[in-house]
Amino acid sequence: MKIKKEKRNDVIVCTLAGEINIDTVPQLKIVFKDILDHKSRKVLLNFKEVEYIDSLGVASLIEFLKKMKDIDGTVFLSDMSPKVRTIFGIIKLENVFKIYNTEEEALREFGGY
Amino acid sequence: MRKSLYFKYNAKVKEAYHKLKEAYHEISESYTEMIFRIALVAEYKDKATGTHLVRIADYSTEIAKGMGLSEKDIYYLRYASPMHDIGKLVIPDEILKKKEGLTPEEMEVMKKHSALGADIFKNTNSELLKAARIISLTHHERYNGTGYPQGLKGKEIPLFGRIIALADVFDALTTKRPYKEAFGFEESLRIIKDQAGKQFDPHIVKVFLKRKNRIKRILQATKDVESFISEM
Repeated sequence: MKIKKEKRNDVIVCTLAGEINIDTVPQLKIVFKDILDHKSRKVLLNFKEVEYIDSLGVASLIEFLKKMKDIDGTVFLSDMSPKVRTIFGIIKLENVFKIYNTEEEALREFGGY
Repeated sequence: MRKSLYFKYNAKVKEAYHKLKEAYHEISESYTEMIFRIALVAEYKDKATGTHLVRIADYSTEIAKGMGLSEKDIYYLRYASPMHDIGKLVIPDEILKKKEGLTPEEMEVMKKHSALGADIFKNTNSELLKAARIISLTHHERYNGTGYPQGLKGKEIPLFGRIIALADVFDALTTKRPYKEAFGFEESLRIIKDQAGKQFDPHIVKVFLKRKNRIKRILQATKDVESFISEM
C-alpha cells in the first residue's frame, strides 16, 4: 500500500493506493496518528487507487473518524471505485462517511477552493 | 506523407483502445457492484447486517493465502463468496426467518437454496459468475459425503466450495442468529477442529487454525464496526 500525504491550505489530503487490509492497516494507522498528533482538523482521504478494503481497513477508518470527531475534526472520502464503494454500502457506511465523487468536489466542500 | 498518415492512424487506434479499456473497466466495476448488491438483498432476508458478507470474503482470503492460491483465485473468492446464499432470495420468509426449528419438510425447502442459487448463474461466460455458481452449489457439501445437494465427497467437492463451507460455518458459530446465541472464539475453533475430515477438508482446517490470530482480528474488527453502526 502507498500513502501520499500533502497539505492543501488547511486540508490534509492523503492519496491511498493498493489494498487496505490486515497487513497494510498498520501503515495507515501511523499516518492517522500523525494527523491526530498535529491536531489537523480537515482530512480528505482519496481512494482513487484503492483496489480493496477489508474489515480491518474499515474498522481503522471508523476508529480514525471517531477520534477526529472528538477534536471536532472532519474526514471526507473521495474517488472510490464502485467495488470499494459497494463494500461501504454492504456494511451500511455510505451515510457514516461523507463520500464525494472527486477530490475537487470534496475540497470545495471544505471551503475556500 | 504516408508515414505521417500512419502515425495519425496509429494514434487514433491507441486512443480508441484506451477508451475501450476504460469502458471495459467501468462495465466490469459496475457488474461486480450490481452482483454484490443483489447478494446483499439475499442477506437482508435473514440477517441484520452485511458484515457477514465481508467476513466471509476476509476468512476465505485468509484461507486462500494460507494455501498459497493465486491472486486470481483470491480475487474470485473475494468477489464470488458473498453470493453463496443468493438462492435464499427464493426461499419463503416464513421458513427463512423461523426462530424455532424447521420441520423436515421445511428443511428440505431450505436446502434447495444452494441449487437455486447455482441456477441463477447457469450458462454464464463470466469467470467470476462461474465461481459464484460453484460456491453456491457446493458450500453445503461435506467432506465425508453427508452434505447436500449432491452428496459429493472429499476432493470431488470443488476447492472454492470446501473453503466457503468452513468460512460460512465458522461465521455462523461466532455470530448471534435468530435461532442461537454466539459461541466464543476458542469454542468455535474447537468445533471446527473436531469436524476436520468429517464436515471439512482437514487440510483447510489446518490452514485456518494456523491463521487463528488473524481470523480473530477479522472477527473483532467486524464486531467493532457492528457496534459502531448499532450506536448510531
